[in-house]
Amino acid sequence: MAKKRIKTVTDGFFQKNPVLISGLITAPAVVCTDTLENALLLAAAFSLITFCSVLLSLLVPRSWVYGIRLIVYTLIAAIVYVPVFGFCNYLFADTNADIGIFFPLLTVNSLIAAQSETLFDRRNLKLLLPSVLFYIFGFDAAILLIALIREFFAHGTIHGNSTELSRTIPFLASPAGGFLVVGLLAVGARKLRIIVRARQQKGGER
Amino acid sequence: MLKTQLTASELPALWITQLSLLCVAAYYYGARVWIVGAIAALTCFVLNFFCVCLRRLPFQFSNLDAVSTGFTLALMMPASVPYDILIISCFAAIIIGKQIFGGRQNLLFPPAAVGYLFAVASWPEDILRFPELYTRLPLTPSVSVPLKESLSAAYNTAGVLNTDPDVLWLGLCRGPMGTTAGLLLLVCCIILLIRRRISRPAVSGAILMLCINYLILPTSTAPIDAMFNGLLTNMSLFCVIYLIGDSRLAPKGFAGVLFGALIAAAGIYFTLIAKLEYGFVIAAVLASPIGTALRRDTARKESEKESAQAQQA
Repeated sequence: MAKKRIKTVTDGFFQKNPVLISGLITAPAVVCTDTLENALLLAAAFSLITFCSVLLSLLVPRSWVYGIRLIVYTLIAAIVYVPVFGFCNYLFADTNADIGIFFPLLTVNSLIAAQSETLFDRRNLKLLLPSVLFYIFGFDAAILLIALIREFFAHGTIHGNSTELSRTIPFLASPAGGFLVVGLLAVGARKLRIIVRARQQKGGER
Repeated sequence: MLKTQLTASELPALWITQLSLLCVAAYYYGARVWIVGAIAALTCFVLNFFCVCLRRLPFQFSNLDAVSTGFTLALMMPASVPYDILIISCFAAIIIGKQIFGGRQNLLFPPAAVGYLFAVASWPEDILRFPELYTRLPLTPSVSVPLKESLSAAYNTAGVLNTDPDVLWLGLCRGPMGTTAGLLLLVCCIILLIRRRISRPAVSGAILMLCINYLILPTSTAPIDAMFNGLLTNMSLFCVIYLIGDSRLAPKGFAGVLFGALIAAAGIYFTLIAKLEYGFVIAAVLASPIGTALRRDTARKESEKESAQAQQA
């Protein structure tokens, strides 16, 4: 029982990472991760909106029709968006404009809308909260890694600080380059998952 | 069974033609051409070898098709290409264009074309500008000689080619290393077709489409001149031989003729309408998945025929 609990809680970080394994929330991850600054803003906004929205959505009665529940979850996220936007605007004043339309689009991300009822066990609050947090950390870690790679190779900087890289690849700063980096990282993540699972199975057989 | 690998007898013939094109380029630009060719071939080979080992597959002679990819990529580059750009382009060609999709067993795109387009998207100033002919380029990793647009780019902009035919036939113009020597490319094409080292249906379909289009499209020059200008500029003939005619990608039979004609038509569109001197490379990448679908369809029909014959027997 204890092993199953750990598996469920940490799934969102690696085994079912929303960006690299499940392929969810790909659009902001591709477009808004050309610099680390943009990725930090996206991570902060996503974390706050998703965590608060999932928590508040627990108040929605399960007896309501599924379609109505989804609409209400999105409305909750839209209401949460307003203070989060103000807060992020205060913290990242210069970067907010670079995210553009993808900031409000976070209110309809898959973890809030369609996937929230399938991924999270809403009956067990002790499992739900850590599970949500690990999914959020998984998304944040993925987009920060993507942004680090893209900014380093496309601009030769890390968080705006020059690394004096002799040859940059400007193509990686474009959305097409973003898809390329996300795709390559997804390949690597899936390969790593296969290796980890094989080792776990070998350990289980012994 | 789909033919997805070059056999031992096909690769040396391709290498010989590619090396002959490098010879001509070396005459025009100096020894740097050989270094560019060697770096491209070696990088592609090492990356391919690494990927084959990573996938725990046996390394066979047909895996040396990566060397051919390296030569093809080098021949599409200017002689002044910086070495680091070339190495990164080889990475894109082998890793992204080939190995990500399953290696030579599941080739979707011409790997050299993927690497070239990656380079053009990232460093257009370095890839689409060329040194003057007979410039002895230094062997340093990057060169600082004056670079200008190619003759094909000027032709696309102006719509008229005010040069002697010798310029195109002998490659006496600025352009990618291996794509300007029209006469040598024609000889290579004939040799490879006779020896069946490239896809006869695909090459025939592509050349037929090119000739018909340039003969009937309204131009300011005589139709025959427009046809030869169209064949010998914008990397057309080179792409027909080494990208469209790639026997790993082209379907057999009539499907191959359609495949070649389709890519040629798309290439003409990109060249004439979008004014892109690498229009045929884009067309080769975009249309290759169609070739894969046609090949699988042809293979499925052949296997159904064989099983029907076996049942009758």
